[in-house]
Amino acid sequence: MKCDEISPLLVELKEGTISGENQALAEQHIATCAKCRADLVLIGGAFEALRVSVDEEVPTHYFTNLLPRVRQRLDERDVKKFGFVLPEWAQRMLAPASAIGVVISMAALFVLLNPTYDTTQSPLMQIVSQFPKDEIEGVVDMANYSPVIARTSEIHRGILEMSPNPSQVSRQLERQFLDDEVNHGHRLSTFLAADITFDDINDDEVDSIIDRLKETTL
Amino acid sequence: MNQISDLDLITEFKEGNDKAFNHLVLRYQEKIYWVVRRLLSDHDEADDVVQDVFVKVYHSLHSFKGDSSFYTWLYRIAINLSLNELRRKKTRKTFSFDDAVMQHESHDALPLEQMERKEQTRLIKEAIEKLPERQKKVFLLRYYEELPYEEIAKILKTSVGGLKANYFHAVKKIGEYVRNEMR
Repeated sequence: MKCDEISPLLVELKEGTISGENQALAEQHIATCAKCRADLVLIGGAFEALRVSVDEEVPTHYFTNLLPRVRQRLDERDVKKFGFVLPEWAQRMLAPASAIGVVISMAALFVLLNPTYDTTQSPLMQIVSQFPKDEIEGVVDMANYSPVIARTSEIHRGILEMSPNPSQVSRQLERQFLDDEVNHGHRLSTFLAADITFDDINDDEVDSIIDRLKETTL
Repeated sequence: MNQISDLDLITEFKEGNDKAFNHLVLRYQEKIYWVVRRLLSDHDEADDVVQDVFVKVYHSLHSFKGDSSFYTWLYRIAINLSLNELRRKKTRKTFSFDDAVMQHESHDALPLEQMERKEQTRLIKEAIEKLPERQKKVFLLRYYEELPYEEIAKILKTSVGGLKANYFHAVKKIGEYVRNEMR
């Protein structure tokens, strides 16, 4: 074998990691090669010096303090990049807000880019507006504006009676009305009635309608 | 309790758990420090580079695809940044503070054995500093990090055969330096 092929084996020989077969080859070569014998001595000397040498010292608590300093450096880089850095609590609060912002932006894009979506009407009103206005007003009148829940149900029932496709409208209305009744049936059902009766309406007007409805009930 | 894997921590980090990064730093800080420290031979410079390594990791972690193991990727970053610093240092040719301290330290008060250890440490440090870049990298990863050749080959993107030759030459040069200086 050539010296170049034996050289790596010399290191393994001194490390004690050489295989039996390679050890025999290396020893056979060393016995006849002065250069490799000299190399083996140098390698032995290097490992001995390395064994005796000691690891250099690290300042006390260095590893305890490293992470905070890495974090600080990250913040400093952000400051350089953006000119300022928000405190961590503010970043935590902003994270969900920015996520909501993304969702709203996507919804807005969907509405803007979807030509079939009518932004002027709620889903419920889209359904309601399919019916002639005077018929719906009749339904609202028939509901008698008794208790709020009953009033919503009356409108619901009335619309269903008039619908050419009751099952489809029913499913959509049911979902909407359930939500309205449980959470804020009062105001929404008033809105429904008001929207049918008036074109534009604001909160004050809604309140006055509610008062009027209460009087009617009494 | 089983330790959470590197890959799981990286996934958590990518999903927005910033604290997962802290676990990675704490897990590897010591190993990375010593790789960098041995390449640069100076604590302050090593400290600076180690921080840069983790800053780079933080910003690059989202693009880590897991083609290699995390620590292979991490070692590669650490070695590259250390070598950049070494090259910069060479062009600056600054006076090493460690050398100054070493030269001014009085050996009189130390016991003989301790003096010998100190002297050997100095020689080893100098010998490693004088190694060519490639041999230095291989030597540090093999001798101090005790990594198998196959792993070093992944980190340095080279063949195992070439690594063995580099390691042999590195050890031999260290041996020659120590012998010549001890005469």
